[in-house]
Amino acid sequence: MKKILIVEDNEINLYLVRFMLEREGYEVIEARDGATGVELAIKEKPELVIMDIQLPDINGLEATRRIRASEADGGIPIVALTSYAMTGDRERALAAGCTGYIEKPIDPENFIAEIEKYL
Amino acid sequence: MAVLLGIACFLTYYCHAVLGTGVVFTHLFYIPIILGALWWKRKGLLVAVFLAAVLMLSHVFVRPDVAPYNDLYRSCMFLVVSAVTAMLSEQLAKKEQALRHARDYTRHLLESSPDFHIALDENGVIMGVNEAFEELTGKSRKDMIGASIYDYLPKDPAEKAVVEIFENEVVRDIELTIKTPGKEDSICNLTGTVFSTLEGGPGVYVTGRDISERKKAEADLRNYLQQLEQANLRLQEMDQLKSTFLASMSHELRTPLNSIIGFTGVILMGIAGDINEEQRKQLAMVKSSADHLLSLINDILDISKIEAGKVELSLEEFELVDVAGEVVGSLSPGAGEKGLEVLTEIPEGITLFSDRRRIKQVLMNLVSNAVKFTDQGYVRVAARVSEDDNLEVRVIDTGVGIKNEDMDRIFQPFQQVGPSLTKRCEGTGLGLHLTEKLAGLLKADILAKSEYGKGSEFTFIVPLRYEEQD
Repeated sequence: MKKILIVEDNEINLYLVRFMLEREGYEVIEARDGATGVELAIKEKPELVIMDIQLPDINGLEATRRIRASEADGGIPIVALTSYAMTGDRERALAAGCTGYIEKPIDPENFIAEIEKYL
Repeated sequence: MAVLLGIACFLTYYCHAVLGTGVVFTHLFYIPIILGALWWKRKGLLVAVFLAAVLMLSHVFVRPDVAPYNDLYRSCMFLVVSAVTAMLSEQLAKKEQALRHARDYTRHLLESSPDFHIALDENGVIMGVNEAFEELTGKSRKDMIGASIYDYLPKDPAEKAVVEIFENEVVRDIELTIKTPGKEDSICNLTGTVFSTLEGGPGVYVTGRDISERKKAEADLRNYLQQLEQANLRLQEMDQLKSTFLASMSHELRTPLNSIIGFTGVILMGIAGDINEEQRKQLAMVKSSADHLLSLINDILDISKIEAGKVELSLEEFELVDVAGEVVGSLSPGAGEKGLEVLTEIPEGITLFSDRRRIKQVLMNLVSNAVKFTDQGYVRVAARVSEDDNLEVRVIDTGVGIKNEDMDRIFQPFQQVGPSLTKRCEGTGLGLHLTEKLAGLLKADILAKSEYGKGSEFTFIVPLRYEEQD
């Protein structure tokens, strides 16, 4: 069973993503802030990280940079959840070390397909 | 004068010729000669010539006993004295005239000057003033001359200024308030210099002007500047607030909307369990409304950001066919449901260097508008490269068209022009407004033409390569 870490502070969004992933048979672990996200990413070694950009403590970009800094091989795919309204989010996400991005609002019809591109 | 001179001539002749008293009386001839030279200047020489002739004639006919040498000598002296006197008197007259001229000129300068002038003796007694000072105080110079200047100036600072003037000879930029009875006090800027009076005593010459108006204007200006600065600060604060508001609105409004769209999608897909047809239909309406709301929020945010100049373009190279394909691909199903055909004439190999996302947004808006406002017929999207290296994309429809009088309103926000108010098409009413703003951002143009009832044609003209400096 593949393990996916979701770093997301919004309860409802978290539930939505977790729901869709668990339906597809993934094991989901979650972090509600950036620091916990970094910690879990290093400790649990998930197959994929879904990273929200706007987080209560350190933002998703910083969390991504920290995860990348801790890695020897830069292996974990990190997919950023970007917001359409914030111009430059995508570029900044990629620059920070994210593997790709999914734009909010999440489209349930394509979500799983998008995720599986990175697995 | 001429008569006096005649009498003088006769008397001298009479004394000389008839009384014959010699040297003393011959000297009497000088009186008419000097008088003539003083009076007639150079013409006075004629008097000297005449009297010299008289002397010589009287010598020949009346007094042949006197030595001829003496009379000849005197006749010459007459002429010399007359010439010298005439010259001196002429020069004197010229100097006098120059002096009078200089005096008139100075007086004219003083009296016509907008600045006031005051001459004071060492005790501060007014010796003279000009018209400007009369106007300032509202008193005539007759009343002021002989009075103390301290009746008009505040005593302490004025006395101090006078002392300073005597010490330094010249003091500029003295600011004093002049008391003007019946009027508001005037703030004046004064310059004081030391001069010596006619009697030889020291005096102070003061020139100055009323700067109350200037002072008031300066104070007003300072006031306005301060107000402006405050207003500017407030504006900056408000701008900051607006940005913060937009950012938080972006987050706060969209987060719940994302959940609505996400869960509606999940339920519609049947992942959470089966739903019946009616539920599906209603949920589809929820989803469509949520999508609409989201695009409205996105449009408003886009416009705000463009207006605030906060949009960064992300430039890249891409193929027009790809972008146009995505646009037409996502709009064709909807058009098909209405029975419309979307025709494309996009040549392969048109490469753009621009903001792909914004170009797509513009095309999306134009084509979706065409589909929205067309009930039968077709929508045609045709692209070509113009001679001046611009891409021209024409979006032509056979829809309702736009009335001439509505043409200049179509790019305004929240202005949807249509057949009637009751039959509005769905949409934010922001589409074309945003499209135009986006086009501006991309250094592109949008041209519209239409025939009411027959269809519209929108042309999007964008440079193939976006140049930073233009």
